[in-house]
Amino acid sequence: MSLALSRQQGCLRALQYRLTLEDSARLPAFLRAAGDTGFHAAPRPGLPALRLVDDNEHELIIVLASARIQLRVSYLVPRDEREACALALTSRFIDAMHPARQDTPARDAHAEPEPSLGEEPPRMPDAD
Amino acid sequence: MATDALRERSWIDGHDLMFVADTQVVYHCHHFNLFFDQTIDDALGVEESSRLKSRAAREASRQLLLGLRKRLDLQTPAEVIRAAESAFAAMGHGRLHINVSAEGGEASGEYLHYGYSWKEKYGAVVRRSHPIDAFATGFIAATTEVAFSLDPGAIEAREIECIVSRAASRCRFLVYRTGERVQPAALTESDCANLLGSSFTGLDEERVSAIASGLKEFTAGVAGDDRGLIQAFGVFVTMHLASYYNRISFDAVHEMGKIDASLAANVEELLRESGRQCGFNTFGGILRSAEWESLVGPPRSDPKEIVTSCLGIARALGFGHWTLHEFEPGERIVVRTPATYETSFYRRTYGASSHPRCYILQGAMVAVAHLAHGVVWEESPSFDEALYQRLLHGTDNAWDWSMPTCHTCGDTFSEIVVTRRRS
Repeated sequence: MSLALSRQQGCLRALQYRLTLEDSARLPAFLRAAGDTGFHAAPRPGLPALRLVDDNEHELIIVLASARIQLRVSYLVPRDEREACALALTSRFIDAMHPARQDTPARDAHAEPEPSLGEEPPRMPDAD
Repeated sequence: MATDALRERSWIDGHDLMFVADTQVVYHCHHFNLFFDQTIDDALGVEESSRLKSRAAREASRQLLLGLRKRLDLQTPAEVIRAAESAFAAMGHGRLHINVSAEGGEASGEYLHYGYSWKEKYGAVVRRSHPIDAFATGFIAATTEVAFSLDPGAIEAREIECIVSRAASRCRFLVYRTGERVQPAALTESDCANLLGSSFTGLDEERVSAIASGLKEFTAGVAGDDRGLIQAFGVFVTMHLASYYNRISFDAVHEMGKIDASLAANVEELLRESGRQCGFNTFGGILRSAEWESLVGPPRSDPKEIVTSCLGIARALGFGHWTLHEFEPGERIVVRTPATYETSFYRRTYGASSHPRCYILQGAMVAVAHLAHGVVWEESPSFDEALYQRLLHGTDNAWDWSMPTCHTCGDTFSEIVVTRRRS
């Protein structure tokens, strides 16, 4: 899986998720995929991170220094639909990063599997 | 226009106390707001609590709206009402539609911070029959008073439908005349400054100041969305009126003290628990947020680093110039501040106190000690109720506090000493 989705347990219910790239060098590809799926830049003054939003008010915060990607599902989505919404968005990102995947009705062994939801992984220890 | 005026925050130099339109404001998240509200309900009962909260909101909002009327040179009642609605939304409290004359009228609300965030946090598991939007209730009354140049206390409002009851789709309010006249407390920026001693610096000052500056710059650009809610750091945030909290806290303690001193002490302990909730949820939530990671970097399990981070956060939220005076990892934290957002209000409204009353400092600093020593940050722990109970109410990492000096007692600064409990 090139892009993994995990719950980010926080203060709001099922609104925040971490997207983890298998290879952080693919961040530019992810950004292109986000753009292809309707996300556009919406910078916040004083915030040194990329902030992208779509027309449904879903939000991506991307910390370039650490390649941390946070997906925030819009709070307008009913609570019991939020996880499905996060999975659907992740699937769209993966499709946009792997255009061939969309054209393969019967997935073979090399195709990207459907995303699933995991728990937030621990951070890698600091290099120092 | 009102939104622009709210962005013109002023800070008392060296004290990290924040003002808008000559009215003291702070940032608090929905966890603290809901817990604080519930604390007062528990202490006074729903009826008396709702009365105190809506009157405190009217008093505090009146000062803000008079300041905005002057600042924006608002001439007509309609201009005042529109500016009030905009300000309410810009501060993250939701959308109000106020339809009143000098005799009263009605109002409605959508996505109100208290009601909406209560539903978000508790709605699936708790039933609630009484309305929750006391702040909006008082704000609507104050708007009517200021719009029609009425005496303070001339108008009251009552929430007659609230979205916390599952039947209601929006909140509705009745606005009406009272025969009352009250003498509102008002703490202006100069009133506050006149009560302050000199400022000072502490350990790791450069780091704490830099964090506070970065967060202040970020929060300066944050305002309510299309529905008047602010979502940042993974929580719903409000810019709130400091005297709203202060009037409620101190009046609740005083009222219970008239009945029995032990009841007052119980309310004070609940207010400290609100502070612990703030420290855990707000400070902890900020440290875990993507915003923090981009501004400062990911948090590490270095106790002093966590403590100084939290002091920077407190400053940026307008809590005061929280400064690290001593630090022994795992043993002792000493924090000093010339004042907190609670202390000048207390001194001006009630005089010098017999004992320390910096409830937010007392509660939050205990939570900070737990965050610094009980959390393995690299494991990205879930900030949930289970962690809160394990950290704050567990037995293996207990912390005590004492305050040798407090600004509310007439001292020139407040000092809190947080020490690890030895059994």
